Amino acid sequence: MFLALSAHPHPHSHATHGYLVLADLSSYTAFLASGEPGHAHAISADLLELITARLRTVFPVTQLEGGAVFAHAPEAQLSRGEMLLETLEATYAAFRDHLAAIRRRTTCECTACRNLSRLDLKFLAHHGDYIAHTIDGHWDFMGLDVALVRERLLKTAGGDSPGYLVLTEACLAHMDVRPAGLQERSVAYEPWGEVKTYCLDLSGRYQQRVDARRVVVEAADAHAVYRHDFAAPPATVWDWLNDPFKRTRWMEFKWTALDRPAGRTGVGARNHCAHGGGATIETILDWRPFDYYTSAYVLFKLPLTLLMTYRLEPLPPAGSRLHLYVKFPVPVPRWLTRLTLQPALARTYALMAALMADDLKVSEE
Amino acid sequence: MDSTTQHGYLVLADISGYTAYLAGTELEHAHEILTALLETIVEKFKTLLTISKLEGDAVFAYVPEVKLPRGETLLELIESTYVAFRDHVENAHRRTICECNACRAIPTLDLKFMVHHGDYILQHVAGITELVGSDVNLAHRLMKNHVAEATGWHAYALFTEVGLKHMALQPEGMHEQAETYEHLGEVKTFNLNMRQRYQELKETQRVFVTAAEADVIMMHDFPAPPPVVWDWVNEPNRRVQWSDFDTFQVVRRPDGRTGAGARMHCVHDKKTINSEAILDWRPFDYFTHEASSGPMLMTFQFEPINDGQGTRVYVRMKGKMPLPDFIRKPLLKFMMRMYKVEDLYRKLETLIAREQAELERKEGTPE
Repeated sequence: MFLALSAHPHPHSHATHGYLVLADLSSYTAFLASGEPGHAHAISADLLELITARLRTVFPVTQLEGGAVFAHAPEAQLSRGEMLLETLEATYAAFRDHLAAIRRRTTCECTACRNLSRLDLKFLAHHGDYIAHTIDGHWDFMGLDVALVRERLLKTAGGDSPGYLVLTEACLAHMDVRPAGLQERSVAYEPWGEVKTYCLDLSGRYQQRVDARRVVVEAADAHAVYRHDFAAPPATVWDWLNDPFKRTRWMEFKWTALDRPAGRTGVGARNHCAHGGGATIETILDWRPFDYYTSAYVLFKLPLTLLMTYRLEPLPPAGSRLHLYVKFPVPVPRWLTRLTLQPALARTYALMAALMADDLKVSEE
Repeated sequence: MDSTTQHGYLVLADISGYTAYLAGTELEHAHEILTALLETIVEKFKTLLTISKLEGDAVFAYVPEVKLPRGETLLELIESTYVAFRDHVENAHRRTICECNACRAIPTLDLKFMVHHGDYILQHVAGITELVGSDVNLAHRLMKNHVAEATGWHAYALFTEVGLKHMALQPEGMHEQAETYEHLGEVKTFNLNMRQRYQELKETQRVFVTAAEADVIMMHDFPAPPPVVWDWVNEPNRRVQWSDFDTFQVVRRPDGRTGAGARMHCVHDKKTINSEAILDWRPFDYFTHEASSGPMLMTFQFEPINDGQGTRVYVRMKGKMPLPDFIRKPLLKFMMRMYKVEDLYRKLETLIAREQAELERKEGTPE
């Protein structure tokens, strides 16, 4: 019998370069094994729902894997790498807040409810190549970088605290950020060789965030109040408000990053805006991605400081409302800011919304 | 959320050598080959199991207990999946003239299975349906085991003790191995060498009544995939529901399972009316047995129709009585009419259709 010989079929799929993120409930197996199945499943489903919803604001495709959520985002979708860090930290904070709320609400004495405090959340983030595919209606992705996250990092990479984030060297290099407090570790994995990872203690950062002094311009204290709706989730709007390149596009002044204490945007970070013959220095006083931030502005080196709080409210299903609260160094009546400041803000944010819509359209195409 | 606990088999098929294969090849080329292999597994699995999800190099599937009364069918499905996988690997390697690393390294890939029986919940989270539960976790933990270390096998089927007990099966030649997992304790497993089984199946002599050899040919379509119809044709408790016999007694099962050499007695009114000796057994493709009544050889061939959701069964009979053709053929036809065999197949079709409708209804409503 003659066998028909064939060349290897020409590959139809092309690898995607992007971020791979795995959010994993720590102690999930022990939690399910020890608790009453009904409560344990309901609690873990509730927590996984929250994690998935948070991650989906930035990572369009997510998959459940037992007590873990696997997500990916093509590189082009995360132009400001720091957004990855902020998304994971915000997800962790929401997770911890939710866990605390469940504990407060429940009077149940079952094993699952008593073991709630054992649960925590860890993240693994890597950057590499993968191919997304569908077989018989089931979605998955394939690649050596996917296997590194799923099969090696998940089982071996870890931190000293119960909640942590492990970033591979490749991931950190693509994010172009170097936050303080990273614990470096190097492990040899077959067949990857030496993989350098950096671990960030999320439990500690969460505690710092809880303890940190809040600086907020409340509506009652503000001299100007403004709001604007956007057709994008808070994480995307946050990115447009803070990425110096994007700000330069919609504010039409050149923004540059000046200081990044602890290697990243946060309290104490400063930005510079050059306009006309002068400049504005922005200093961040409070930073809670993607909830709110407060900045102080010094205009033209005058000894006067303007305070602004930007608060983002999610508008289901995929929009956001920006609430802006402005406090001038001297009292200014609201009727005056309504006449002068509000039209200018409306024009500026309308431009930002239009540019954002254009970019989203391009990335969808 | 549907949080009703269900009971059934949890099955994982995991490609061995996957990571090393990816490491030595270009992703785009490897992807083409691995996708074709995963598709082969999914195609086979979905005739009997529900695919839960793909997990990189693995396919995770399950089947509620109620859907699989004859546990041996699951073992046969696993073996038939392995045969399809191995055939694909060997044919792809033999037929290619491509010199790329992905094509050259195809033979390094193999397949292992993990089978467990237990409880699970179908949990709906963020629009995704996920199987959860401690038994689901255990099925996944089993992927990390010491079978290859202890036996040198890269292709094997691992059954937990609980799984095997539910299948009511104890095939010979299984390697027993205890595994310990944190939070889940010690698990006793029984393992079958799939490579060896593949060789045995390949080397077994084929006994097949072809259309040209047959004295009588019957054909009937059934509204279920081949493994389901196979089960109805062979499982004694199901067979009595559509045949004229009171009981079917398995009198011989070499190596503890159905296969060539097995023998079954068909009993009516406390008398053995017919004895069937299996001569060739290729789940879910065909089987041939020699029936004492006649005597005659009968090949039952199962052909998937309607995109795998239906089955066409050909029954080809060849009489072994020392009679010339012109007498033997009409005699066999007369026997088939006398025993109203067509009516029996119609009855079987009704039973299968009823069961399928009932299962669909149950799947739509939680237990």
